[in-house]
Amino acid sequence: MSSSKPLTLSSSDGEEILVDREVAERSILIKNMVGDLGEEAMEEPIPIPNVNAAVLKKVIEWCIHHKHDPPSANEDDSDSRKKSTDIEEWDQKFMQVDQEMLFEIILAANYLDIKALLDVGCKTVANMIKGKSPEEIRKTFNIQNDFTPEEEDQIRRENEWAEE
Amino acid sequence: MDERNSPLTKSELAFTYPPYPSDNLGHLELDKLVRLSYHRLCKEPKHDLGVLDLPVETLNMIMGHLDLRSLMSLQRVNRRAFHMVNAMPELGAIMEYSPNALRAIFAIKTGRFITCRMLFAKLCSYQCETCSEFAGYLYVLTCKRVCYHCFTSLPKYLPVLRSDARERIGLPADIIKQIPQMKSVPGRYTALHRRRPRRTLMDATAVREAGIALHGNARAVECYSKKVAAEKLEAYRVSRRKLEPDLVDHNIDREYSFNLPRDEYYFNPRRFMAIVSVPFIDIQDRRAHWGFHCLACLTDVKGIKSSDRQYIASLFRDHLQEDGEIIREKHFTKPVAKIQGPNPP
Repeated sequence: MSSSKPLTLSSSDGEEILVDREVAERSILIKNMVGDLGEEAMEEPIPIPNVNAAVLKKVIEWCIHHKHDPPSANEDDSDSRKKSTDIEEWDQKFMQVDQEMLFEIILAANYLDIKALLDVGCKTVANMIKGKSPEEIRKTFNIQNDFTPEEEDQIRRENEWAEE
Repeated sequence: MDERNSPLTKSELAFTYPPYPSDNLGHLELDKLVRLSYHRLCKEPKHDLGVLDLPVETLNMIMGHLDLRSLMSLQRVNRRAFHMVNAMPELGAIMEYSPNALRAIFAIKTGRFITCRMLFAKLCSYQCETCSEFAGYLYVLTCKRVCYHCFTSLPKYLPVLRSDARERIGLPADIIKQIPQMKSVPGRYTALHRRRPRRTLMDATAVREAGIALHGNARAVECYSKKVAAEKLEAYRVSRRKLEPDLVDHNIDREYSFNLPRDEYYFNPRRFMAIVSVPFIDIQDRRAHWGFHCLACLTDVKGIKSSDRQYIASLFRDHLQEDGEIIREKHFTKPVAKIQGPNPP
């Protein structure tokens, strides 16, 4: 594809953000949109209705840093997932945001179809769950327990083997 | 489906032999030891997962990165979490085709080293990770697919006692803590050894690597072990002489070495304590294949290794091509064949 004009993305709260074509096309959604609608339609801002400006800027920041990454080679390569929750340092720092922002980024990556970013987000959440007890997980994500005491008791008994 | 992969015909089946029972975790009554609460408890959730209530595929991605122990913790958070974990496709397939793999992992407590996705990937491949042949077993200390021949012969599949890692290799406690390790399950593993207490066993490869990192190189590790062994022998000599002053060193040494563990023996029960038989899950035809033996190889006394080999239909057909069609329970190689095989009498 020839190097072409930057794209304008319009966030859900109406802010317009200018992005290099190469950067924006880390998003498969946008890439396909460009392919489907053709160059001329790209003169207009592209609406991103599900993502607000703050999150969109954060996502673009990630895309700029990763614009030279090779496109994800194997979609479902189990090998790359073996080292499950290793996250490169820059990404770790990038993901040091409050919980709300973290989940917004994950949802945005899901919507915009940016697999690598979604993966980093999921790994970050997985790391927040790892090694925690059920009660600690509830506290971390503010989840209500709706098991009855009898159910809890039964599950605890059945899970005795999973304890160390 | 191509012909090579099609199910065995009746006449082909006659040349096969089902996998014979070998002693491993799968033969201890794991289902009584480890109960999986999968698919029980179906009441409707009252609460959601808070911020964790993401699209199902995204939540599955997150759970895919979780080790099995954390996954089980997540399951116990609330009813919605219970449903979401149970609805995870990989876990569902493992439960359907190979629940014993999961039970074995929980029984020896290696859940924190293994992810659900990793386990599923291992079940969906049939190859031994060392020799590439059909592997009917899983080494559940670190989740590696392995064939009978490899796990009964290779040093890396012989877990190391924690006390040996500490004393013979000299690993300090903080390093030991980080090495993949398991708790053995009491039971019968090989004919010679019936019941054993629960011991902590460590992955041999990881112990070896940690030893090299600590001492600098493999030779230094060996020197350290030799020094420790020599000290132990000397201590034994001293204690024996106290009891029987007339004993000569030569006899004490022989007595001592007689009591040393025989690590190299294939029937060392430790080799079987982290092993469980597993099927190969063929995602294409959604069936579990447990593998089978070749009848001709089974009666061939010369090939101990080949009698242990397991096959699935396609591999068995390759085997017949290579080693000759079976006539009167023996492989028969035509004179024109290039490959030399055992000739019929």
